[in-house]
Amino acid sequence: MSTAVKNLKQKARRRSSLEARQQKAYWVFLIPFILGFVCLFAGIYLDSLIYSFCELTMKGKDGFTQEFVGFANYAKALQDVDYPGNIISSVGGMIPDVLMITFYSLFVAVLLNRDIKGRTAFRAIFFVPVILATGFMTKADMTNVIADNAWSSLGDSTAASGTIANGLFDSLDLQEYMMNMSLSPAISKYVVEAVGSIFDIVNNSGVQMLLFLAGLQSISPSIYEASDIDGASGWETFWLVTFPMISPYILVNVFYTVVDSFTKSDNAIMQLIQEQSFKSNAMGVGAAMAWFYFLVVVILIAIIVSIISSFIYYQQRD
Amino acid sequence: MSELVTKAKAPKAKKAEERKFKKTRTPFRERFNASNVGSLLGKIFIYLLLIEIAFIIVYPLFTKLSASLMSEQDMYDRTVTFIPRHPTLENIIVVFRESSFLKALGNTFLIALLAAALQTAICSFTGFGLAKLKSRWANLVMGMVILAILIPNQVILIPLYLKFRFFDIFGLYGLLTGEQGPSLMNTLWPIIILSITGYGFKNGLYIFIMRQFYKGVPEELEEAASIDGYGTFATFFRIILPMAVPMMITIFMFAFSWQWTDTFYSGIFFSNFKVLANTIFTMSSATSGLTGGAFSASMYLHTGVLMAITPLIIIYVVAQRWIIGGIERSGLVG
Repeated sequence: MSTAVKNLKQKARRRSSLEARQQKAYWVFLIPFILGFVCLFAGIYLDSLIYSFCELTMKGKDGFTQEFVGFANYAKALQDVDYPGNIISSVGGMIPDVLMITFYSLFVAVLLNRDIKGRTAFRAIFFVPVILATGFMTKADMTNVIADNAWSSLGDSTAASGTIANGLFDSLDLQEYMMNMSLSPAISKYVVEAVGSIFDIVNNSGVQMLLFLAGLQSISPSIYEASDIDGASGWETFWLVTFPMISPYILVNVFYTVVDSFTKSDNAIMQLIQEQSFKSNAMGVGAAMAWFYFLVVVILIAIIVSIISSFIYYQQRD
Repeated sequence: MSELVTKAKAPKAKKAEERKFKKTRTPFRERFNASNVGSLLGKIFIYLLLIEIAFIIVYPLFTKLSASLMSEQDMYDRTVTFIPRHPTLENIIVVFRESSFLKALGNTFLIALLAAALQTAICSFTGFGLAKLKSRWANLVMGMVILAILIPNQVILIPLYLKFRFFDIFGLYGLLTGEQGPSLMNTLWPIIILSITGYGFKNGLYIFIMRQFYKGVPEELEEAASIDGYGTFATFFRIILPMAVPMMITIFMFAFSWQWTDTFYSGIFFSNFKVLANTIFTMSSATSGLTGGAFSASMYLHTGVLMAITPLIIIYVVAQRWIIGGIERSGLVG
């Protein structure tokens, strides 16, 4: 009896020491990140938040004065001509994009995971958007669009801007073609838009595809063998084995896609914010716009993530 | 006698059973294979689809290549679409000279390698702590990661610049010396500091990806390791980390190529330090000022972008067999 109690006590002590050790380990693993937050980024976020409540006036090269004005910047932001409309349109445009990108990248990842000829070559090509999705490709394309517009506004239609413009399909041609087929304008508009967005979807889903592929590869082959022995069809195997096993990656990908579509630098709101921030005396308004937008995004993402989280399967005991 | 009967009966019974089984259910794959035509059509469909998508991906690179080889004459000629009629290397030579290409390339490579190595290490550390270790502060720290992911770069542009323009932690430097902090502009320090603390370009995302990966690792593994007498660190370094190699390679690839093409941090920190992300833009506007027009600016910009991306693509093509091999090896996990 007494030995049993002793054992239990020992066990409890061991467990508590394990927990204590885990707590210590937690700090070791996370100390760089926490230090980064406390020493650098807490201050940076706070500064930006303070700017949104202040009117900033540039003074000299690197300095400026700030004067507290309360919520005036937020009021200005919401009364801006473009700002509220842009928020609504970017939220509305995000939902179909996220659905299409997630389905497309899952579909292609499953295809590329199969044993097909030329798989290596296809994979190499399909990962190219990962490299090109961010950074100076986008910036260069934006600059070029501006340059091309400037050129065509000069009235010089002989310029071969078609060779430079990045649009894959000349949607005017397609529209004309659809009109000749005497389809209703509503249908042709829808098709033209869908075709136009294929380009965006393909080029924005490189990361998602790579993550799905890594997820698919990490499913143990023995599970597939077992389900094959149990007589599961390919369809059943996909929905009952593959799908639950990669569901954590679905959360990652949806989360990534939403964040990406909200914070991309060619997003209309981001451009508006950047424009405001570099206008003298409007830096505060820019910060206010950014923080209000951030609030909207956080609420939306919280809703989306909580919906998806309830469908996720982790390979763990509860 | 009876034995013989059962022996004779056995195959028949088996067949009947099989027939019964087939009637009730034929595996989907078998049905699919039975109609070879269907499977052939499916294959053609898959290949057509893949080739089509591959074309969409390669197209912008192709237009850039064709624009960079065109002479000015071809650019103004509407009848020339893809293949230049008077191909010339002049654009490339001008860009190479004006952007001091080799120096910028060397700097970019160094920065991308440094950032990618540090970020991969830190993010796989942080992700493990968030996914597997318990603490009262776990939710708070997770909140910090979410903040890092969600707050767009544009929001923190000015405070971030000021932080590294007058680098100072809690005003300690100012308190001790009575001066404003030293400027870290045009040095590697901002990138090193940001990478070590897990706050580099899109690092919040990397941490989140690693966390999701570790979450998928079954707990039994750690328990087994703990029974075998491994502590948390030994478990992490000897058991969990080797499993995470494919994910780490993926993260490394993201970090390397995104640091390479990043214009945000490069724009803030490296105004006089030559990196490709900056020089191609300054070069194209400066050079076009000499030769004329927005049109040639856009031509030089195309050429510059292509030249800046080509080394990255070459590195990627050489390394991709290894990368994909790394991803594939994760099939052992599970």
